[in-house]
Amino acid sequence: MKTILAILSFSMVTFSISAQDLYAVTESEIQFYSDSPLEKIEAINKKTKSFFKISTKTLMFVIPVISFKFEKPLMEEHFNENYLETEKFPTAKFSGTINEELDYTKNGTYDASATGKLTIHGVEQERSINGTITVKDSQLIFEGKFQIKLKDHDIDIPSIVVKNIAEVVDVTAKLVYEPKK
Amino acid sequence: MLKINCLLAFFLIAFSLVSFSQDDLMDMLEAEATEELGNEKVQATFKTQRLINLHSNETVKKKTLDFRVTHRFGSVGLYKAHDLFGMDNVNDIRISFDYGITENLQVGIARSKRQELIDGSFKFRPLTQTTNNKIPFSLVLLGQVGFTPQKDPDSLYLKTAHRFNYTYQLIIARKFGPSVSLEIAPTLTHRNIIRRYVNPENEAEEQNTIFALGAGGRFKITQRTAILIDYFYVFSQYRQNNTATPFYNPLGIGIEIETGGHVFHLVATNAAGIVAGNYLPYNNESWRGLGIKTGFNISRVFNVGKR
Repeated sequence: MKTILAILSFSMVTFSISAQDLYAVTESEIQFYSDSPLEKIEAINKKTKSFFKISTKTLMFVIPVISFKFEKPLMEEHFNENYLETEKFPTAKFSGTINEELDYTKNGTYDASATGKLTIHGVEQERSINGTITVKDSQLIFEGKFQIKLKDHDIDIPSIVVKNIAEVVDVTAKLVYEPKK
Repeated sequence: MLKINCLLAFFLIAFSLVSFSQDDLMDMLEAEATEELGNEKVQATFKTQRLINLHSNETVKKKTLDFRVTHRFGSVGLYKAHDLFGMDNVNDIRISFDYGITENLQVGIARSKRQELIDGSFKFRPLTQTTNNKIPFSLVLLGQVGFTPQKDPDSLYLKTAHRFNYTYQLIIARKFGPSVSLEIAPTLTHRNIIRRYVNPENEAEEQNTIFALGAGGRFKITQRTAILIDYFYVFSQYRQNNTATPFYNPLGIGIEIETGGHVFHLVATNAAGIVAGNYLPYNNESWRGLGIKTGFNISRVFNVGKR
């Protein structure tokens, strides 16, 4: 009986160690800006789902595209209906790895980059994203800034609104992770 | 007992040592994101407030103003080439302003040529279809009051109250995917005063209140164009095979073209009037008799006020 208890408690310990390896997002903010001669468009999404696995340095996230919120509701409708086609392609994804070896037990902010596959509008692109990783006790905070060329993801801008929408869109991302329970 | 305990311990260890593969993790994220998506409201069931004759489930978005010009030319078959198939004539013109108070409530005023009708309306959407089908359709209530200030040589309007008519409509709409949206709309229209004519065929008398069932759909053909169709069946004994005052159920077919803030409709319909208070009680031309009117709707949306 004692041995069983020992095995049990050991298994619980190993379980908790393996769980510490995997981090899940608790707060997220992904914003994009399109700055064109006629119109500034920005939208924010707080519904990103993401995991980060320290042992394999794997970073992956899935964004429900329809959850991008715009200032003008008509823009939001056009974004979903005409450009991102969210009914056909409901999510945007990134799956890659962190390139740097970092010590996730020491508090501080580190420069980092992630390389992997970015899928938007159903089109996959190999991308490197630069940013920082901040270790704050049990939290990991990922911040990044990058650009998306609409053409790369087959997002067509009709000539009539070409002055309203930028060809390259700036994206900023802030993701806060905590150990997955 | 010991065996069971051993087994239990084994499973616990096995479970604790399982590390999720990358694909498993991605699947978990996808599932979470999909759940999140499900709570979102379905957008753009229709592109604008109206199909051809029928109202859609869409309301003007919050703090925006929809300015619309709706136009119906003369009948194609009346003078044929002599009025360029109706182009030189006008059956009805309606100019309207609708404002979105909230995402689900709009109010509007408008003026039509037919009956010189001035109308005020509200449109309220208590239910919006969600992507996870927890709410499988959108529900809209529409109320419209019309007032006619027109001259009255036949002394029909003895009191001011006689100049009013009312339309109430319940719209049940569903988007069946990116390119197909359908709706049905039970409709009630009431005129405060009518002449009690009798249908010579079945001796049914004209009624103040008429019930009709509307149905319509939008079928997307490209990213920015769609085909529209709508139809009303009017439940009225007086209007069945009436040889003295013929009546035909209104049928409309249209093409929708969308360019950013504008939505254009090019339409063909046998309805002469634009508001339900006009086309449901009175509609004496048919498609077969070339009583088709071409027409257009233009809608321009303006953002009004701070958000």
